[in-house]
Formats: sequence, C-alpha cells, structure tokens
Amino acid sequence: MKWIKTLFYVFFIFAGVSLTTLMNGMPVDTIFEPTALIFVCAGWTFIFANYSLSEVILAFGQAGGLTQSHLQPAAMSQHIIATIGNYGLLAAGTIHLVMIFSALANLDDPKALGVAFAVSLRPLVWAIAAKVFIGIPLQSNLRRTQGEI
Amino acid sequence: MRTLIAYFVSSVILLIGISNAPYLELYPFHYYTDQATLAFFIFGGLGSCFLWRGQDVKSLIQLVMGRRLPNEAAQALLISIEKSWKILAYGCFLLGIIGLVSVLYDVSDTARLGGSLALSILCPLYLLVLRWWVVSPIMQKLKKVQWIEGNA
Repeated sequence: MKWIKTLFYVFFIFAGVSLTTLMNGMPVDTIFEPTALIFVCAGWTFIFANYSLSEVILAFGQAGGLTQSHLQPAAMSQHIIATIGNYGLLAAGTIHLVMIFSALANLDDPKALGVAFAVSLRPLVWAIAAKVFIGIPLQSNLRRTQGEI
Repeated sequence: MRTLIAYFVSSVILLIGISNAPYLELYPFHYYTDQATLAFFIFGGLGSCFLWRGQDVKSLIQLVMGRRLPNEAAQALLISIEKSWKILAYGCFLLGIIGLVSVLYDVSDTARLGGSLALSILCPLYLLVLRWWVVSPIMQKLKKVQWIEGNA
C-alpha cells in the first residue's frame, strides 16, 4: 500500500506547488525551466562514482515500498538518497555562483541584473524542490522502515 | 573506472547544460582565476590538514589508487577529512566576509564594485567545486567501505 500513499503524496505536492504559483501569478514555466534541470542532473550523476545503478534503483525501490527491504541495508539506501540530493544542491549552487559572476557585469543596468539574478536561481529551485519534496520524504520512509526492523 | 565514467558523463551533461542555458554567459577561463583566492585555497587546504596522521595520508593514497581499505583506516580518514573540510569552509566564509566588508566600503564606482563582488564570489565557487568534484566522492567512497565492511 506504500506506493498508493506515494502517488497521493506526489499528487498533493504537485497540486500545492501549481496552485501556489498560479494564484500568486508566478510563471511556472519560467521558474521550473527544463534547461536548468540539466545542471542538477550533472550533479546527480556523481552518485554513480561510488554506487552502481542497481544499488541506486534498489534504494528508491525500498524507499517507495516497491522492493523488499532485506536486499540492501535501509541505512545505505537512506544514505544514497541523501547523497543524490546533496550532489544536486552542490551542482546547482556552483552554477548559481557562475551565473551570479556573469550577472555582476550588468551592475549598471538594473533590468538586466534582475533577469540575470532570477535566472541564476533556477537550478537551485530544481535542486531544492527535488531534495525537499522527493529526497527527504523518501529518507524518512526508509528511517521508519529501519525502525520497524 | 566507474568513477572516471561518472566524471566524464557529468562533464558532458554539464556542457550540454551550458550550451543550452539561455542567458548564461561564460567568460574566458582566466576571469575565473584569482591568484589570492587560489593561494588561500592551497595554503588553507594544506593548513587544514594539520590534524592528519601519516596513516591518513597513506590511506588516502591507497584509496585514490583504488586499493581496498580496512574499515578502521577508512573511518579515521573520514573523520580527518570532515574536520579539515570544516576548517577550510569556515576559513573561506571568513575570507568572503572580509572581502565583502572591504568591497562595500565604497559603492560609488559600480564598475569597480561589480569586479570586486565577482572576485569575492570566486571563494565560495572554488569551495563548492572542491566539495562537488573532490571531497564528496572521496567521502562517499569511505562511507561505502564502512557499509561493506560492516555487513561482511
């Protein structure tokens, strides 16, 4: 039944974020711009430096309640998910600073400066959203499984 | 081998991102190199390792060479790296604050201000790149040794 709860959770989060942004008149497509996600993906890829694809899939499977918990220690799965989130944040933070660096060339033009600052925050939006809405709940789920064992 | 592939794939994805990102303007490489910041990183980095023992250095070399580490050595090295990282990060934070204070004294000249602020950003930028590309993969490798040895 865990996966049904997961589905509901994803639906509620999606609805919550969409409603908040739409009701405040924020342009969702500008905030969650897909090209900014590529940078975060570059960070996430680093998980494969130490863990195999099967270990990562197993970690997500365990967290979502789709695979059996004895195949891999829950603490290890928890650690893998936390590390993916951290790598995403590191990559997004790096790109954010690189973009701020170029934005500061427009210090004389406030309009261009504002756009450049706003754009520089996009990768961080993706990374934080992934960490907060996906990573932390999955980690908590695994922590509970660990407690039950 | 897996580590090298991960570095390569990540670099390729990063390049795809850079070539596709609207508004991202990259300057030539020398714009991102500041000798004072680099000097701080080299000397600060070496200085932050003063807590290390000879065994930690040996363990690190073994790890980089891809040899198997015993659990105790991995644990000791992990603690040393965490301590050194904290010293370096707080040092960088302090340097950034000092840089900002000196920069913000005179905000009348926007061209100079922009250049100085950009230079003060280089310190956290180097710190993040170091964490992302060097420190974190090493720490994850050490933690994995602990998982494997712990379950053996």
